[in-house]
Amino acid sequence: MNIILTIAQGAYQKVIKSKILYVIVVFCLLAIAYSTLYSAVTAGEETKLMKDIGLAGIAVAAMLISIMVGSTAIPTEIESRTIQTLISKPVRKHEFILGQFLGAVYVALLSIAIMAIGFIIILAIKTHALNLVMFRPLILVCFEAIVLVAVSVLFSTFCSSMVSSILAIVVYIAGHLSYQIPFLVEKAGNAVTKFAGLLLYYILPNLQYFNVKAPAAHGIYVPWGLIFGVILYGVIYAAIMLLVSLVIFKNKDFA
Amino acid sequence: MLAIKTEHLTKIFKGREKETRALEDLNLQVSPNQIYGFLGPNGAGKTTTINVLLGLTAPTTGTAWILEKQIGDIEIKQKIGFLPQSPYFYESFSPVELLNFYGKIFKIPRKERCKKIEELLDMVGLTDSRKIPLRKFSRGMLQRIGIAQTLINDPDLVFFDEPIAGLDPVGRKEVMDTILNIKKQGRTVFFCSHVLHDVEMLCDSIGILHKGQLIVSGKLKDLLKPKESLEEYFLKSIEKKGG
Amino acid sequence: MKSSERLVQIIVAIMLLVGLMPLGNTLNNIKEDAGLADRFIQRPVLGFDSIASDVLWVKTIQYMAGVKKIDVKSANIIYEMFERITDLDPLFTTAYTFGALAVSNKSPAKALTLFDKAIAHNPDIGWRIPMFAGVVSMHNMKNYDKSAEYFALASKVKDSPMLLKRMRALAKSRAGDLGTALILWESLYNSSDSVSVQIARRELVRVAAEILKTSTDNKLRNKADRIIKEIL
Repeated sequence: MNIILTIAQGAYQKVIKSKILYVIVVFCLLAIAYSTLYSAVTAGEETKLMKDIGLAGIAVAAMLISIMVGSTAIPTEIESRTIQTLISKPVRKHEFILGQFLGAVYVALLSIAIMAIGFIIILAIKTHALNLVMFRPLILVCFEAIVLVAVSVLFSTFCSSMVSSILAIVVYIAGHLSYQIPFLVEKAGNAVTKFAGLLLYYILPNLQYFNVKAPAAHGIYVPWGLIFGVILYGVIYAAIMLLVSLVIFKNKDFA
Repeated sequence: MLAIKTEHLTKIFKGREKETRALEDLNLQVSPNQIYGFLGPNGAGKTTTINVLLGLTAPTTGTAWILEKQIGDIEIKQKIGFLPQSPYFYESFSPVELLNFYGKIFKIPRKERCKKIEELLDMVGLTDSRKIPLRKFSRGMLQRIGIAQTLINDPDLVFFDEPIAGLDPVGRKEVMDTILNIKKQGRTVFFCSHVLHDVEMLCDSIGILHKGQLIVSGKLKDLLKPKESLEEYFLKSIEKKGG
Repeated sequence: MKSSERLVQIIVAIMLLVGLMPLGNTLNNIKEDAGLADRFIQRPVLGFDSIASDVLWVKTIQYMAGVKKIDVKSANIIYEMFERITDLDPLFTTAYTFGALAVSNKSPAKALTLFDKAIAHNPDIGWRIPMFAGVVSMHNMKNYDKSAEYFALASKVKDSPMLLKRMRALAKSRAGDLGTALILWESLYNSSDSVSVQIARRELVRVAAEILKTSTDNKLRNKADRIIKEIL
């Protein structure tokens, strides 16, 4: 466990000095702050607009950061050959993968935390109230980020960082559309089409589970049972991605 | 006890159009407490040998032992150090951060680790540059920090892949002195090099690899005739093998 | 890596994936119970429905600000815009009210479509939207039965004003359902709200007189007769 945490720390230290990370976080906070200027054109719905921009902005930033750090963690080690020095030391391949994954997750969660705190502060200044209920959708944004990091890490075990980023983005899009598959296959007459559709539905991560931004913006209660259930889903799905990553990575050559 | 032993070690790289037999039935034996020079022309398979021994690539057939333990045993890596050819390290790290990172990998306790880091930085002459990011280091400085990280765990066996290549004369002398010191500390050094003059000065034994096959192995003083240079012997051996 | 180890890892991964299926179904059920179920959308926006609806909302406000007087054509355009806004964010209750009231004069049927959609997607809609729907139904469409249903829905909401019960009774009597109107006004006459009692007194007499004049139902006529005698 110590080695996994050491590698995670190393991965975190590598990434945290990346300027693009700060650009994304700062840009998101600026967008949230800028949304406070829209009251004149929202016909009384400026608070809803602020909440929507804040939650959507953080979700987009979280997606970009997760995919960026997840898909570059391993390929940069391989391409720069730093992995050779590392694997020559008593580091098992699964420790390497898990360490890179945890390091990437830590970077993503830290970024989300900074943006979340900034968002709550800006919202509090505007509404003169502490909207702590906004943390509920943000908790799920964190776990969506964990899933995206795991998916990116999986792709990066056999693709370059560019290709894994693209594949991860495709999975992100498909994951937000996959909930529509049952509606579509219901109308399919063909049993094979139905089976294929449902297989795809279950293999893709259903990222809509993590999306409670709209109810939160409207102040509608999101049950804790749903939140914990979605967290469990996210953890299991990430575990599946990591297991498959380990299988692929174990036989990889670094010569 | 042998520091390194291989038996019928073969490595075949399967490309899209053809196969490359990088190592062919390699039977190597390296005794401990010496400097062993592993020589050969470009593409002979020297780096591949090191990569197989260190678990960076799996052998196609055959097996190998390091310090009497079969390769693949993770625990044996506690006792070895490795400096790759053209070493790559995390550019954003400083020397202290890098050595600290590797020290944690070896589970060296904090107090001991800090002491070790100071000693190593002093040994390689990087104490003044301890906090400068590695991206600002010259080739020679990178080589020196590379040597420092090789020794962080007090290894019994050290692998160097072309440690002297690309260095200026001052840098070369420093590295060579370091290698001699490492041997004096009772460690085994296994290194690949093209710079035969320096190999002749440093090594106790050599092995010559050609097209994946070990064509010569033994003590330098036994292999060379009087007044024969290593370069002459090397070229003669390669020619004899039909190189 | 030994192939047996790899096989075990793959089997565990597949088992976990299979295990996600009942968990996913459970999550879908929880979402449905909480009124948060995902709907099929023609043009999905990858989970950014709410902000997409905000963008459309701002655009729609800008459009409406530029319309001097709403006619049938502009009412249809406005309706389509609010239809799209509420497709993306069915919880956006302000949009339903704003849009429906904007088009209620020129396209009352479309206004009611928006109100019905609001009621369908928001179980805790409150009393205002059903009340607005009732008013549009009554005044713009002269559909008194329908308006009575809306007022009934509105009046069931906790802490809703007594006015809604009176509106329901009024709608029923205008719809010609004098029997139900009589019951509703009698209930209001017996309530503790002084305003409702006063209005109900007057309306009971009127409805009872109407029943005695037009109805052939003896039971109803006897009831109307009793009520008039009690009040007068």
